[in-house]
Amino acid sequence: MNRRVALAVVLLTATLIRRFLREGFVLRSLVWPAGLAAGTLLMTLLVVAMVKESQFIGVPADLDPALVERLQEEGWTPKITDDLEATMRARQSWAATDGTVMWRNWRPESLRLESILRERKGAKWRPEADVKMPTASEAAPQGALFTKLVAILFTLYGVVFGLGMVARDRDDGSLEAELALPLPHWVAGATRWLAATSVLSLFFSFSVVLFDAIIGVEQGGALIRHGIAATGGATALGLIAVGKAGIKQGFSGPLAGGLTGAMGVMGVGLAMPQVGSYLPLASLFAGGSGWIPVAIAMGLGVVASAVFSFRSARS
Amino acid sequence: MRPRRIIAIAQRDLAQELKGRRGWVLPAIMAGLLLPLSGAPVPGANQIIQNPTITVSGDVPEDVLAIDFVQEVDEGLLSFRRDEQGTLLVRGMPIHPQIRAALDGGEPAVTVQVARRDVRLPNRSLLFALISASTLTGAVSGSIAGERTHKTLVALLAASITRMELICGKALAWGGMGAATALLAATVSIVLGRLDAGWWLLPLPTVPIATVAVGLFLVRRASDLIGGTTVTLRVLPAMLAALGLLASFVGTTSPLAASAIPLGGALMTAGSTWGGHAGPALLSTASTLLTTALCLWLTARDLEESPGTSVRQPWAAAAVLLGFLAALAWWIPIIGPILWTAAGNPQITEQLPARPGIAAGVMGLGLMSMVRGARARDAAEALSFRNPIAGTWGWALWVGVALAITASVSGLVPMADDPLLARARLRMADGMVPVWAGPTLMLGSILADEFLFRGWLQKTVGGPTATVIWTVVKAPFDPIRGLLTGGMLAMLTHRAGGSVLPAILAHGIWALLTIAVPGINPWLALIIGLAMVAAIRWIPPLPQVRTVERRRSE
Repeated sequence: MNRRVALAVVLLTATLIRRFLREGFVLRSLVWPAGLAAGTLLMTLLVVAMVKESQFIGVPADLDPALVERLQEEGWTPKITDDLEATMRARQSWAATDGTVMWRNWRPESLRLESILRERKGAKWRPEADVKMPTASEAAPQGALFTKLVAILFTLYGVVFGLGMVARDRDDGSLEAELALPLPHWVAGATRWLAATSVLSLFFSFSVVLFDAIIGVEQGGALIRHGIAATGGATALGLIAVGKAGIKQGFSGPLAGGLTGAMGVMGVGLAMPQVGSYLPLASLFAGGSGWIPVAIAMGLGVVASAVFSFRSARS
Repeated sequence: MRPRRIIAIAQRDLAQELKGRRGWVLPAIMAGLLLPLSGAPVPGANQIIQNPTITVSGDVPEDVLAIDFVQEVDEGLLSFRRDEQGTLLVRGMPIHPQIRAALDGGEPAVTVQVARRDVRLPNRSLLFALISASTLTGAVSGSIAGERTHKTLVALLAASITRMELICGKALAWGGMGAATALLAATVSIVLGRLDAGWWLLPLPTVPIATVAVGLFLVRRASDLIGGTTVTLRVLPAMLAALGLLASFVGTTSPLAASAIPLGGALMTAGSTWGGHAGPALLSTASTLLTTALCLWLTARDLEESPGTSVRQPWAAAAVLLGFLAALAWWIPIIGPILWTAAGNPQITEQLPARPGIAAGVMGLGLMSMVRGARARDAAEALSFRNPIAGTWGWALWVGVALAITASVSGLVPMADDPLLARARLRMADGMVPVWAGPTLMLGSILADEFLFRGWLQKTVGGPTATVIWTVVKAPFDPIRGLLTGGMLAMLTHRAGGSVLPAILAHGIWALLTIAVPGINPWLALIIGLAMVAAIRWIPPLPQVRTVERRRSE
């Protein structure tokens, strides 16, 4: 590769990245998954924090005053009601009791209430009153799970970017102009792969770091590598699948094929983790350090550029 | 509305997408997904949850160990121990009813009943609607955006058809295909005896039809295939899931009210979630078709040859929007973890390291500047990355020192009584100059802050407004420090002729001196800060500097 071609690759890649960032729809799509997931998590915490304040427990009017006092000491508010079970079903209280029978939902505090009732009755067993909350290290796998779900969406974006960049540019005539430049045809494919992979990797990394900040992500570094491999692999898949697609030739078939193919490869990671840990896309669910999938994804980028110059760049 | 023209548009769309060998790909994928789903036997819930093993550990009673699904391990899901009085304590939840019965020994001291609403699950026909709708993403996104890219929209808009006919034709093509596919899958399922025919068949085809209509509405302004596809790919599944869940939630109280929810109601009724009653089916069909009509009308109303250039926002609106986005980018990772404490789990807040928060905040603010640079004709100019007026480098040194020694001005604003607010303030203060996070993040923070607040915002909305936004984003609980630091940096940028470079230098010096400079009296810090702002504003440049500038301008 001579200096002129290398410079062209850099400049064309930078131009394509710039084009991505200028497109409002694309930009919103890149920010959307992390924003939606992080926003949902924080809103849930906020709602839980607010709901915690309403601590109504349904009780009958003739409940033992000592028990009422004990419930108030716990910070709960006894609410006198005729039909305890109906109050629970209507979600007007999180628990209800007449001292012997207790209705509860799935809140962890219900164990504490049960413990108090059993202690008063002198029962031979009771639940431990203190509720064990998950630690950051126990929450980190959940963070990794959220991030993997975001990675699935970024992988699908990879297919869309790979396919769409070619189909769009073919339709508006800019691909033809680009192929008329005194450059090898693989350059047009390679720059598209590089640009899409760079943009997707950058925004995916941001998603991982954001999740790491608010919930913690188990093996965040490896997850970023798996994500880079997945987006690179998916973009290559899109470039390979696009062929002659565009408005004239139809876009939905290759797109549906590319998306289904990407989901299929991801499924390999779940079904056969030993094989999947080496494959881009599949490695998201198979684990491993992520270095080998990154290397394979780069190889796929080269293959996709070659396939592009063979299948798509010919008139 | 002329049906023949609508059908002609639909035929044109279908012919374009489904022609040749490639045209078989989409129907083949739909068939490949739906046929097994409609014919395959699905195991019941009891068959799926076989032999639930519950692990136990500690001082486990014999009666509990005798239960066939209980397994004793070193560290089990349920742990047993005895307190000083000999009472058995059980840790872990939920406690299985059979284990409870074994512990009670037939004489329960307290009877526990789980009171929850009946949750009814949809059957497989919900998936017919979902899959037939979701496989059309590519076709829907290409339908308008692709025409626009290929310049064929001009011809269509100039043809003797109305915009409504055009949009209805496109909706008919893909909505019709989705509806036909869903009904075909349902027919296969009924013929094979997997499902019984019922009222659920009525709303089933409306789901793909409405999804296509909403999809067309979403992409009505997309300028190309990528934009169109990414928007449908991210919004349609989220919308279907959200409306479906909403309908499912409302349905626990009133199925009729839930079925009135557009799309979500149809989705749940198509899954026969609330039994085979006519009311929900009719209502959900009507509400979904009404939504379809509304979306098609709005799409036709907004459809233009070009997606339209963005109207320049008034500066106040731009300032509010930018400030809001920057605040989200910074606050979510920096003070978001505190919500764990508010929600009742303080140990996660304690244990989460602060460094990823700074990294995410810096990346968020940096990406905002990067996007701004990419969108401008001249990225360097848009971010004020240019040579400063001569003589401002010296001012940068003084401002850097002043920023460091005025940190104690925070003492003028008392700490909030609320522990969560106090903690949020401390985190924000740590994030202002994150030297502790390492040189890379510190440098990233300086560049992100300066390019965004002094480079871009100051140029867009003016120095005072940019300083207020800086204060809201970076120091909302310590506004005096925010205004003072922002004011000094903004004034320096102004003096440098709009160049952001001296502010970057001053910010760097501020970071370097943060550790070394001792705290001073807060009032003295305020006076020094205000004096520095006044000095930058009013002390005239030296004669030789004026000469250099004059020569440069000549």
